Amino acid sequence: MFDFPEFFSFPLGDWINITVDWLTLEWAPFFDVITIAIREPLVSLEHFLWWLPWWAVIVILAAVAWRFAGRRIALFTVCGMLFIGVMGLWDETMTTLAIIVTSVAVSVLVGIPLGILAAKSDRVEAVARPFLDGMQTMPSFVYLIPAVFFFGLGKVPAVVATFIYAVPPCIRLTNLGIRQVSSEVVEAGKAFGSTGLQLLFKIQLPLARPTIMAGVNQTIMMALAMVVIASMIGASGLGLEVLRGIQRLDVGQGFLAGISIVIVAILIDRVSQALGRTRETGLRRGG
Amino acid sequence: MPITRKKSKVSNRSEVEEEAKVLCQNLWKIFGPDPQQVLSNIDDGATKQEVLEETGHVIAVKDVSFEVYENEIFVIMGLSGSGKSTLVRCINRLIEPTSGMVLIDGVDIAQMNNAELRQLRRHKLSMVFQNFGLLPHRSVLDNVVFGLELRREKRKERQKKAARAIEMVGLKGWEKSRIYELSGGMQQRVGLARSLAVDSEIILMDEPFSALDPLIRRQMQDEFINLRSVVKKTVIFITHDLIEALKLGDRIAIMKDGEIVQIGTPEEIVSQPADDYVSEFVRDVPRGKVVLAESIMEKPAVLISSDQNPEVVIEELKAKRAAVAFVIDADGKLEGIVTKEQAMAAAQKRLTSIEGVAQREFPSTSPDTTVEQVLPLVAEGNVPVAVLDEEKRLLGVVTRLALIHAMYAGNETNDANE
Amino acid sequence: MRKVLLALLVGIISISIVLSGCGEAEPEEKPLIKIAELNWGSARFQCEMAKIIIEEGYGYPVELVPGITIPMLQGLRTGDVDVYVEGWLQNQQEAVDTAMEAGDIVMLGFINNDNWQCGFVVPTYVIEGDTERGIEPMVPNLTSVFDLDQPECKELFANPENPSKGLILNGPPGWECEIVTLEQVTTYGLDDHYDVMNTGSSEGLFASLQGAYDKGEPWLGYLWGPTWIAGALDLTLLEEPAYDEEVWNEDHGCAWPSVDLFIAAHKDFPDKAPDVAEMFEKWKLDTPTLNEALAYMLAIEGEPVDVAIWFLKEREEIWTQFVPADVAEKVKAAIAEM
Repeated sequence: MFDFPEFFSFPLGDWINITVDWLTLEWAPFFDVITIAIREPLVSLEHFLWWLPWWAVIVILAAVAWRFAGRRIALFTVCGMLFIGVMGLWDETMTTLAIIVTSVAVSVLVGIPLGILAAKSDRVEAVARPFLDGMQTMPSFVYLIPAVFFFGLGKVPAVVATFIYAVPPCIRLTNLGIRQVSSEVVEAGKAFGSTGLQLLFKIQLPLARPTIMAGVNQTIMMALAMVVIASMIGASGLGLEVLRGIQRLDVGQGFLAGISIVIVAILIDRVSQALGRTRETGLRRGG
Repeated sequence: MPITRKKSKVSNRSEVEEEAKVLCQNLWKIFGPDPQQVLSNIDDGATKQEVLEETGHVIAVKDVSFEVYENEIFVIMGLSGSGKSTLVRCINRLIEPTSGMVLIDGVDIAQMNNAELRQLRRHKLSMVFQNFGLLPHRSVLDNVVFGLELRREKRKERQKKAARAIEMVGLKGWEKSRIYELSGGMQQRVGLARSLAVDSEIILMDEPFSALDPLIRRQMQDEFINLRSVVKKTVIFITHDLIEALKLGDRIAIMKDGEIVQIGTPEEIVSQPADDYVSEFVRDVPRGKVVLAESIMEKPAVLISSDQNPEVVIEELKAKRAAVAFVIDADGKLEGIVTKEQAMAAAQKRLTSIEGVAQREFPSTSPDTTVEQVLPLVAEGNVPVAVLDEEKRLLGVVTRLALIHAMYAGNETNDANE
Repeated sequence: MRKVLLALLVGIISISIVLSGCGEAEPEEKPLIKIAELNWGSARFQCEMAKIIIEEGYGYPVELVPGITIPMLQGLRTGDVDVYVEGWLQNQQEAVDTAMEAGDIVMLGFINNDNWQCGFVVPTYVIEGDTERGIEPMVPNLTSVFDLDQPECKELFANPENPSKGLILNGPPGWECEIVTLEQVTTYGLDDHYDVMNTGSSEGLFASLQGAYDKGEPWLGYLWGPTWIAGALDLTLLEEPAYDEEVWNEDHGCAWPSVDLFIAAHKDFPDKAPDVAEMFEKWKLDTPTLNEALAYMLAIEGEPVDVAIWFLKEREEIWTQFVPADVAEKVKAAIAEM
């Protein structure tokens, strides 16, 4: 009598399986389009990074770091990338970089518009909130396998899984940033005859920019956290090296690949944070 | 349905029938879940408080009607919570009225679709905000062009118009500055320039000077009056400051709990208050009990430091036609005053600085002292009364002339308009 | 009132102490046996089955310790686990040899070596078509790995990231077979025609095969048996030159040797539970049997323990060979109630 009565149970798990099967078969053309849309830019970027001479990559990254984040980060970039090269993980790092950039680009392209929608409508926000919570807390293995059904193995399902995990902060903080814009400035925009789009692009987005960039930064960090997990469905790169190290109990190899991920993470984090700060104008005196 | 009136203020005093530029009729704004329901059941006698308790709805604007004529400054004056800010937003539909009619040049704006409303806001109505409502990520120039940008005017054209507006408000040379680099007064000049740049016929001003320091506020008021003599505009001006209302308004509407209790010229408001509420408000105006020292203080003509050479001080005083120089330290604290006689005496003694002759005793007062209380100080001494803040910094001076003007302001405002 | 409560509390506590004391006071107490539960279906099914037999038949308490191959082998050396079921000898030869030489582990027995082990696999419909599902044969003349360099094969199995080449899906990273497969691709002269992709995990590999199979799409990759997926889907192993030790040692240019699935134990285990050690020495399950069990697990969407119970009930003739008659009777009695 203390066990939960069985006649209350219903086969929700089966229904999910049936749904996934149905999606796999009937929606294949739809997923194929998404697959191509993600794969083509990603592969081009990866090949481009491989094609570039190693020193050119270092020079470009260091220049970007210097421009936005200062000399110390630029120096760190040079040392870190040289370390990665010496450790023989250059190509893997370029692959990881391509996956991260693509995942973040997809997250931003989808996340910011959704964040804007949520900011414009309380109803959208209310509906979106539980989904975002779910996406962030659902163990990623759960959707990793359906992702393989829909998108095959490799980098594409990795990007999709990374997107699911990493897009919520982008949506949340875009929503928050826009909602935080001073109501008087928004009123001013309307009073001078803004259209909805003018209001968005001339007032709300520029003023919400620091908050949105904080969201993008979080998205990037979460995407990096997914690198290893995503490699379990065939995304090559540094994550695969970590996995290989673990499987073989080769602690050294695992660590080297892990450190390389950390280097990439610090580099991208500092630069993207700095991007959020630059031109972050004086919100000191009300606007 | 043109509402007309006998126009009394045109210079030739001819009796012209004139159409109202802005007309509000039986305007209501009720906040809450079901305003229409509340509106249809409303009991005329019920107060705002009673309706709130019974229905949970807030009546912000209650059956308001008025008209504003071309080139008039119409001031809506009320304390906070009187509904004046809501009212002004009903005029450009930043807030949708619950019922009633707003006609601008005879066109009912409630009937306008979004596109028409946008055209109205872009061309006919502009607005100035209490906390300026500027775009902090843009420069002064880019803020001023904002309205023109929304109208998609050509770059060259908008730069030209913006430059003119910036010059009008005295910000020439600051075009490239960032908003946060400017003081509050300068920020509001940007706000003003923004609304001048679009060259709208009507400007709505929602407590534009309330957020500014008293001295800056008065300076802005004066400049606004000057500006008005150059650029003819119809202005609807919101304020909670009676003195400001009396100073700027051609006509004043006094609001209380969402209702207009009286509309009239400053003279009418002061001399024939419509009810107890208004009379309480204006009772003391002519006798100087309402006017505060900060409202009438002026910039001291001659400011010097204590190590100044007497000869220089004398020259300064002569140039400014002033009798007294004020000695301040680096922090702006008032150390003493030097009269022309004292400076001349020092010069004869061949002193190198006026330090020795500066007078440490002088009449002073705080900015929130009423004019009436300042009067004895002015009467006693021959020197202007210094207005000091809590840190003894010199905010301004009250001269005898200013005081006399202030005492009779209630009787004189209408003279200025006649 | 408070006193009453206190008395009640004391009563409850003393009763539970007495009760738990009763449990410990069983006559012949046997030591706990820890079995490494390796993370693939056939190993987990055998662990569950062994657990039931040992607990019900021999009376030892059993704990299954889930984990992956190399860490578990390490645990076996240190004695953190007692038994290691279904190791693949040739896949971890080096580690096993080291442990044996050090005298940390002993080999108890071999489950089978008749498996098709590892190899290049396509769904059968790729070659023969599937009239029921309306799938035409895609490359009817594909029989061996040497046919893969034909243009129509390359085109069929094209790598979406690099369409000029075909794509062979490899096993999880870090496994011996991953490296062998890479070498085989080169030896068979396929490296100019095919990219080899690491699938990251066995789950990833299976999901990819299952997804393609459901859609009736071409699929080419490495697979090993016994696996549940090999039991559940109709797959064809591409022919390779027969195993030859010399060739194998030189460039892996032939089929895999059938692999020895072994059961090993910590060096002290035969003394700790000699009867159980004896059972594991007799433990034999051939590949078709394991595949059948795995396919059953998939069909009922059950857990390994469900399969173990099913197997004990349905395949008496097999497992009763491992144990003395009295033990078999006890197990039969116990599973009759499961």
